[in-house]
Amino acid sequence: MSSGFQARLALGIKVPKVIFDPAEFDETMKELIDKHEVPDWHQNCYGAYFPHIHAVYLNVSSFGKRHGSEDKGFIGDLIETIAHELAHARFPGLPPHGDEFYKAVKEILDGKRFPWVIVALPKLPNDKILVTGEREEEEDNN
Amino acid sequence: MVLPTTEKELDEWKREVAIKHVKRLSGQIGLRHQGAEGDL
Repeated sequence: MSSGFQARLALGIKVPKVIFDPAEFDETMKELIDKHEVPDWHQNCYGAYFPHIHAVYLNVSSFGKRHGSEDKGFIGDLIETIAHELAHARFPGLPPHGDEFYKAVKEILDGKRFPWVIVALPKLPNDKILVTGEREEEEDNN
Repeated sequence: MVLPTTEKELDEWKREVAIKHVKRLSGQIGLRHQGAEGDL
């Protein structure tokens, strides 16, 4: 990798934006929900991934409190939800919530490491996410 | 280590833990994105 590319990675590439309260949704997020383009969204969902703006909603106040969550607790629900929502981001080519998707989620939860991808965000909300390249280096300290 | 004692502190702790795990898992699965303003 060229030093210029490394510098641009350090400056311009970020992890997903994290939202914790629907009151923090901006107009773009509301529009995506209205258009049913947020696969996991419903009022009491654990989490949701907003594909066009690379943002994750996490309903942290509900983690560990639902029926069936007693053994997992807050951290268990949190990690399962993050793995699920990030799988939407990392594998945009997989049909959401299909067998291959859940296989990928399980691999994430099992600790598997995947090659780097850079998800290029479109400027228009209706454009599709483009996966522009892959690299195998470990995480940059940015 | 200071344990959260109020609802507000607990909520802040949950958010901090969540962001930490989002960063960790994003690194594990090799996920980064180009900024919306196109600075890559």
